[in-house]
Amino acid sequence: MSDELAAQLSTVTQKLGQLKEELKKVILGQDGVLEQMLITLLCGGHALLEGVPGTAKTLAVRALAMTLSCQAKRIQFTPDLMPSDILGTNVFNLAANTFELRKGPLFTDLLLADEINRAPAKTQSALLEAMSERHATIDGVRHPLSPVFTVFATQNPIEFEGTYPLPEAQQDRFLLKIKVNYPAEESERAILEAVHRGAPPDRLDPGTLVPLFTVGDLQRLQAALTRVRIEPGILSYVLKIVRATRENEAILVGAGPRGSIFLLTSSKARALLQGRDFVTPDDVLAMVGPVLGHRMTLSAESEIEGAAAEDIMKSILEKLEVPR
Amino acid sequence: MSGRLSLLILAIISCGGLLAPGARKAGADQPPLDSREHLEEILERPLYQRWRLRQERAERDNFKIDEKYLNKFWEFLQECLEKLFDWLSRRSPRSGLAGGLGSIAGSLKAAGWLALALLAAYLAYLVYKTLRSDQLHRARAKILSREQIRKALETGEALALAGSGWLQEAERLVAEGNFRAVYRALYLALLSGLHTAGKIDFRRNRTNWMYVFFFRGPEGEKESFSRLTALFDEIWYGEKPAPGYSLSQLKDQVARLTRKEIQHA
Repeated sequence: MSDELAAQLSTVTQKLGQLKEELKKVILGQDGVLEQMLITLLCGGHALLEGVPGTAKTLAVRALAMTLSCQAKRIQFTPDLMPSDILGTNVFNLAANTFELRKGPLFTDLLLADEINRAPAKTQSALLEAMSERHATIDGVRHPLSPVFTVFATQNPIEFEGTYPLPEAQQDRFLLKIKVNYPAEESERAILEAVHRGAPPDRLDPGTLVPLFTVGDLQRLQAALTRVRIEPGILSYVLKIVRATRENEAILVGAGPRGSIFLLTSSKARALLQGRDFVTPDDVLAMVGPVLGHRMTLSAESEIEGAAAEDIMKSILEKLEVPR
Repeated sequence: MSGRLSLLILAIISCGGLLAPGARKAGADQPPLDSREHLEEILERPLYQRWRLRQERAERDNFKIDEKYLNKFWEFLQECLEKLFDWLSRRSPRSGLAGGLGSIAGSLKAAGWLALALLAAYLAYLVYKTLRSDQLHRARAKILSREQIRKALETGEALALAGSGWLQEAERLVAEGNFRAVYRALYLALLSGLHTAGKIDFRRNRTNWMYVFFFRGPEGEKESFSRLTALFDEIWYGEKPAPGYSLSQLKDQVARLTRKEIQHA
């Protein structure tokens, strides 16, 4: 590696470290979630956040947008939400005698799609198409979205009444499924103490966080990902893990090639976040759950037995040798 | 309880079936099904089948030893102990001071037998441990062909050689000028040595940092192990040139960490 490249990567990792510290000022006890959200951004993917209400999902997205000096918008998905509500629509301007595009909330950098499973399939697919194509089609005309357009969709894991669960094919479009759990006792105490001192519990006042990155910086970071190296043994390890999901009896449909690609890129992004320009098996293992968990369809027997995708994945990993 | 729940579920499923749009239509246009057939149809439904299987599983999981059998076992044990004390008291004189002393003597005799049994068990354990250790060392001492060693090095099979064996292999690789492989051999020496010293449990599905995390040893040694792991990561996974460490320095560090094993070897 040249000295210039090493210096560049050192700056990148230093800035990412600062970013993580800045975010931790307002998001307490969710370090893993923050790391996975940053990985999503570095990979240029989208994430599905799954967690019970009140675990700082919305706040995390807002804080991220603030530190990246990005524009962020939020859509609360409801059963009556129409595709035009998120994409936008052409409105006739009587004075100019022409149609004018009134852009929907999709035209932003970071989008928080709250409770995505509450909207009907038609609206979900309009969003998912925009996610994969990075453009929106309104009245037959294609409109490009922000180059760093990232969706953080949320869904509640316990309440399914009146919801439209995302089909497997649509879930596959999300780079990561981030599980947002309750914070640890110490972190929750720190949150209470902060609120007691006067910090707003779920609001983020302007100036609370220092913007450290611009959209251009983020794009450069995404480009830096290609310079993260991966030893051939680790590449084979990624391949073995994904292929093992297709051969396991407990799994009806394993992860596809998109799963392998995402596991590789997210492992590289994690390495970068850890301040390394090379991937280790620990990076791969850390990303297996968030990348592959939602890409597997369990067999009927496993579902009846109440097996979780995490447990099956664990048994797969126990049989695979770590490259050394 | 399970029977009642089963009936309740059946009732819910049958109500659901009647309320379903298809069922309503069938009810309106066709004569009602024979109740037995209807019941069989409900029992065939995947929803009921799934519930039944889950229920069976839960019942299996909740299986506990019946208290009745436990009480019987305690009664039996009590009876045996009573018989033992009867036997001991029959063997000693019954009256006065002599009787008391006899009873003490009997108890001491029983305690002696118990101590003897414990001693025998301990000796058996020692023999087993010695045999196992000997077996391990004989396995380690087996001479591997160059091809076998090369394969073990490539696959990271640390336990194929003892720590000292890997250190010798590292020296041979230095002579060959294969410096990247030297570090690999040194790290395998470290893992093999630490496994034998009981400080880690080597398993092929564990990463190097898992060994660091679960390291059983003083904090200082854990830090050294952590430093060596970071160094190995840089050289092996990062494919970076070996930094300014001399081989002897690294060998010393490895030997210090695996002291017990190296001394034994």
